[in-house]
Amino acid sequence: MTLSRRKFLGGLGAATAAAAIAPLVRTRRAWGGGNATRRIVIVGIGGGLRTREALGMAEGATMPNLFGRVPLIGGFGSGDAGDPVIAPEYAAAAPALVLPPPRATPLHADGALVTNLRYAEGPPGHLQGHACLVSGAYNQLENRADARLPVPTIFELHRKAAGAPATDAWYLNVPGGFYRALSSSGAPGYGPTYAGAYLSPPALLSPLVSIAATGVRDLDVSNGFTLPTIPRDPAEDAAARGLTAVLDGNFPRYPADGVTVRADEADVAAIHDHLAEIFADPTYQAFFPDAFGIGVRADDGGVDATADALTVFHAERVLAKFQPSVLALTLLDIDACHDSFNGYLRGQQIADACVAHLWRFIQSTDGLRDETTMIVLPEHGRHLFGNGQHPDSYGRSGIDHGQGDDGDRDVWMLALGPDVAAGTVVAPTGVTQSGRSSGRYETIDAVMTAMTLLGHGDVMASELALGGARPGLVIEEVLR
Amino acid sequence: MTPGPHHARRRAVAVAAALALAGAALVAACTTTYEFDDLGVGDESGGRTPVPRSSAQFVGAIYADLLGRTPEVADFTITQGGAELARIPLDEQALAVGAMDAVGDPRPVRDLVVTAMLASPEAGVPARADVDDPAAFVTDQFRLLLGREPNTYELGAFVTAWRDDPAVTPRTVIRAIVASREYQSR
Repeated sequence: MTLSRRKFLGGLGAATAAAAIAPLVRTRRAWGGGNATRRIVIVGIGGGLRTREALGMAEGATMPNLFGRVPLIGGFGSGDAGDPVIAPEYAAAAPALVLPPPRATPLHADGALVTNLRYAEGPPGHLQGHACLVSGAYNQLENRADARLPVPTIFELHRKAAGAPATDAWYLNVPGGFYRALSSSGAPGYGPTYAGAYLSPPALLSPLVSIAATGVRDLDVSNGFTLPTIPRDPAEDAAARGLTAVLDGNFPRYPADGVTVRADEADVAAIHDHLAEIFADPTYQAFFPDAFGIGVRADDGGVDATADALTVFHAERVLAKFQPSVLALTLLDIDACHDSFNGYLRGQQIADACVAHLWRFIQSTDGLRDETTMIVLPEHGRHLFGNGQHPDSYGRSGIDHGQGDDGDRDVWMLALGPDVAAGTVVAPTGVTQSGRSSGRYETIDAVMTAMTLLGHGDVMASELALGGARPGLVIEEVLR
Repeated sequence: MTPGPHHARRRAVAVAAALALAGAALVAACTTTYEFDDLGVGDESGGRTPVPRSSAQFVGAIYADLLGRTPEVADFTITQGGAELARIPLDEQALAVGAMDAVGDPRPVRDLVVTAMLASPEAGVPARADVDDPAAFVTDQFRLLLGREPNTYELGAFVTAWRDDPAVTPRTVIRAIVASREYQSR
């Protein structure tokens, strides 16, 4: 009889789990032999996405790249779900979406899909949901800049275990602001020293930043003109760093406060250079190129980014340049649903196209292809009922999230990569673990599975238990 | 007056020199011992524990120090043939702070914003060829940005870099000082 981690943990109390886990995981890790994964990408389709629309396709096939056009869960028919049902008045008023043709074969056929994942605990809020995706821990994190998770993030775990620089573990997200708190935790032995490199493209990677800073206030485009950029001179950058080092060598370091992230000089330089290239581009295509092909149609015929499209484009740039071992990104376009059900559906279309673009990019990039496992899942769902805001001509109003009904908590997970059992669609039940009442695989299991593939499952389980969190299980059904 | 870091460094150098001399004497004689009176070298910070400036504080500081004004809200206007095509409101403070807070460690973005500001005519940064006395220029920037004189070591390092590296320009000097922990803290 094989002793699985899930069954073993099910018989352990939380107090003994940490001590017992390390030898257990070493046994468990031999799930099928070889492990090709060298990098993990965790994509949180943030904003609150219900299974009804994503897998049930109750409003048409809003995510054809991921799931095709036939509902993947019961209760929604077995035929073609048709195109997304966008209210005519919304379609007439909103800028046209720009989407590439959908894949001939949906991504789930190339990977493994768990259709009944459960975001089982914690508030269905964006910060808490995103925090779960970057830590594998349900949490009650407060919406404050100085709030920190009590358990280490995946970035810290990887950096500490691997001795890796910040540029080997990235977190990109849409909201910005205090969401950067999710790049590190307050866990003992971890913290800002091991923080991931954090980037919120919508707040930073805009030409308006350079236009404002360069002081240009008028641009006449009648004849030849130059767009405002931030000048870049690598020799000057190097010289300035050298002189700054003279000053810093003669000045005390900041006392550690357990919160503030201070990257080492090599990471600062690498991130600076990456951003400087973008801000120096006189075409502005480095911010977001029309060729990305996902967004909304601009007045000039080009493509304007949505926040999600911009974030995924820059995730690809980070992947190309740094080839990090860990990259997490969380999207948010779907959250338009608070005010607009049609915006919610369009957000799904954008996220769907972005995820497909990202996976295609990974598969077409040397050093990423065949080494990268990508996990895609919503951070949580939305209520089963509308909020009455802005009903469309079909009677569909906005929908909130946060109360924790089944619409909020029923989600799914798509896994892709070299260690994933392709063509798997499962909805396991009877999953047992001490403290687990769902009987199903959960969001924390998706994160644990990814980290186990990267070789950090044992330390993650130990640290979660030490931090008082229930460690996730490895979802064996999706692995080769 | 609280002694600055350069003051502490001078004293530390003096002590190091004294200890080096003592060591040389020991090597030479090996039979004679010396005792020295305690010599205070001050703490490294000159009594200051640095507290990082927030992004909002930093933005306020660079607009004051580099442009001599506060951040403004202004319009960016695009025209063609005299016709206005677009007018975009720009909030200098909000855009800069938002950009700096969009990364974990704000230093890379702070430097980019500073580089952009220094490239603007409003900043009035002279060309390298227009600076007759690099030492005086460096000293002026230390006074303006750090509120103190450069110590001998710092001035020597900056002037040597100016002399030896054509990439060191007035803009480089200002960028280096503004990027320092001393400027970015309070």
